[in-house]
Amino acid sequence: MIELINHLIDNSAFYYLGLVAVLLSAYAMTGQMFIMDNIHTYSFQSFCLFAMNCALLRDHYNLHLLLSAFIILIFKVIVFPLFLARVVKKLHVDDQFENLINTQLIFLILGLVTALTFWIFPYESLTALNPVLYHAAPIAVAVTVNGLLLMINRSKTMSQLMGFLVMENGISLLVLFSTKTLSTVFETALALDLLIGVVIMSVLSNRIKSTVEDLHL
Amino acid sequence: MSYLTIVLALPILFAALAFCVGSTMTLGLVNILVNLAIVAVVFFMAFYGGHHIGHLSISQLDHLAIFSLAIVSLISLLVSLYSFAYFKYQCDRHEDFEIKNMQKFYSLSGLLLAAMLFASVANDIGWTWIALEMTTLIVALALGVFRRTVALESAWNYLIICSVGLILALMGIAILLVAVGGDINTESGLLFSSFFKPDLVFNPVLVKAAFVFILIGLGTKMALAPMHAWLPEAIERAEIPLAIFLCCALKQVVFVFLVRLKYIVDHALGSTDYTASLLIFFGLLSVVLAALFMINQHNLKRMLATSSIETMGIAAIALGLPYKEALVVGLIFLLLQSLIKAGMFFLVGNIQLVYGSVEVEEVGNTMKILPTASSLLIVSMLAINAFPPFAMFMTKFVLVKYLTTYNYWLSLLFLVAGVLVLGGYVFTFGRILFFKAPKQREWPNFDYKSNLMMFAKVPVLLSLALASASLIFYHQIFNYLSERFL
Repeated sequence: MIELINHLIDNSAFYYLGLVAVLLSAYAMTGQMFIMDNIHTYSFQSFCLFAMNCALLRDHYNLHLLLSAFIILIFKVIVFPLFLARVVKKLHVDDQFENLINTQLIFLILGLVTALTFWIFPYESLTALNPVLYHAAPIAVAVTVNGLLLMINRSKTMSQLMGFLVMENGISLLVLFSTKTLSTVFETALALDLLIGVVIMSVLSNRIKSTVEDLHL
Repeated sequence: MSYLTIVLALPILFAALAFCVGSTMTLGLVNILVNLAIVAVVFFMAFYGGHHIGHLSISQLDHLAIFSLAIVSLISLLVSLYSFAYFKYQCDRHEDFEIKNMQKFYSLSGLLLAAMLFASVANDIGWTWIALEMTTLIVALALGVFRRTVALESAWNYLIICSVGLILALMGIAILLVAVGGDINTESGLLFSSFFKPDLVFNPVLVKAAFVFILIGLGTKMALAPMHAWLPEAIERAEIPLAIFLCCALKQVVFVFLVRLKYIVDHALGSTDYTASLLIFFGLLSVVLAALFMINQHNLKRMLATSSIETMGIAAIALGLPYKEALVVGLIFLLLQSLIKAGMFFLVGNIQLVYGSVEVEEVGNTMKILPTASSLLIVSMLAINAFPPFAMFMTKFVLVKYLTTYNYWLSLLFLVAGVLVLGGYVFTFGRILFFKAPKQREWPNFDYKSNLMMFAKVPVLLSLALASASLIFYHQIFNYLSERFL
């Protein structure tokens, strides 16, 4: 198994698999109608990100990548999904989403956005730099736009939070592959985003819920 | 210890110590003293040059940074003077303004000030972004301090919209990194200056895409149209001091960040045409939309917020115009707008204290009830709409001149929008100043001639005096900034 993974990493297939998984999980979140499904898919998407981070770590070991992997595993894969699930139970959040735009139309838009991003990013210069980057950059932008559409398409606060977290995963993906060495600044920025995304928004929604009963959670 | 450290440490220290102070009056006084010290140090740095004052490893003190520091610290000082009287009255009248909430509010405003000052001087794109994200977080918490339902909802909307905006801006910055082909080593940070190395080769398509993300992201935080929806809502529900920070200081800091990133993009593309067209488009859209919204506003705070959308639109146009002097004039314009608008917010705050409302339908006959404040409101209205002899006239006149040179039709549209904005002000202020409001309450039992109320007028007079003094020293200010920017 380890040999197979090593082989996949050596010829970049591991990264491609991870990227496809991240993109498909973002699509899946758009299609899902239940909040708990969304939370599980988000956790899976973050795990894919973690796996790619570890693969990069194997090839180019540095402290920043290690820290980034740690943040993703602990917070995005484990703590925040558990925390969100708890918030959902505690606040008796309505489990089902309602899409404002037709789901088929949203998928069509997502497909077009993904195609457009692949068209915008220059093949020659990016593949010369890093062959994986040519696929990672457009997918990262597509995932971010997907998160934005999740926020726009659903009026409930929890779904907006999920959209925000997907956007944040898109940025993490782009930053992971776009710099030769991750910087502490980016890690801090992403950690701050996570703080805002989960802790503050949950606290705020809790406070709003205690004040206004009819908030669309 | 460098002067810059003092400037950054003072508000943080105040934020920490605010919880140890047990009276609103003392909190207000300490706040004034802290802000006085910050303004003194900032102006010392401005006049005695960057190399005397020491620096932190993650900061730069170029003249853009000093300019931003000056606006933020001046506005903060005026706000601290006003808050002293404003919160004393609110504490006496409302239960929400108990000392526990006041401590939280003052502490958060100290942190907000520190974040804005840090965003002004940071030399690293990442750190500036983090400081701006911190401001989003702090403002959202400050909006919800008094636990009013509508304010909590506004806090939620503000947090969602501005965080998404900043995420898009971060995406733009990351694409900018892809555009240089990863040739920048980000291990020690992402310095603004690292993008100006001569051997870097940029991919123009990606740089253009990056700027779109950056402009939309920072435009959201600056409330440029069509990403402006959060601002009037947040301002309407924010307490006056917080509203002033949002309209008169925070947006200016974001603007300075945009100026820096625009320089990088222009350098990467080797031309200003692309950024100019986008900035002028979004700027003009903001001016026109704000002008349309200004007509028949039902709330005084919302009206001032809408007016500040127009302000940022004009600043974006000044940044976009391909003439170097236009940016200098745009910066002076921003400074004056901040001062005058802060004064107008103070006056609206006084109206709120007396009438208990800022709804146009509930406020009337202010000329009889508050003659001084009403007269000052008229003067401020003339000043903000660039009537001579106010210095704003000079800035707007020069900007229209440059815009006419750039495109005659755009300048015509700009002037028409300006007339509509003036019409909006005259219509709304005319109603509240001279006519009885349809839902006006009984004569409020309020001692508006008390010493505290007089104190509340001090910052108004100060802001107007500073804005007026700018006319006398207009050429000195222009020369000072031109020497450093051009």
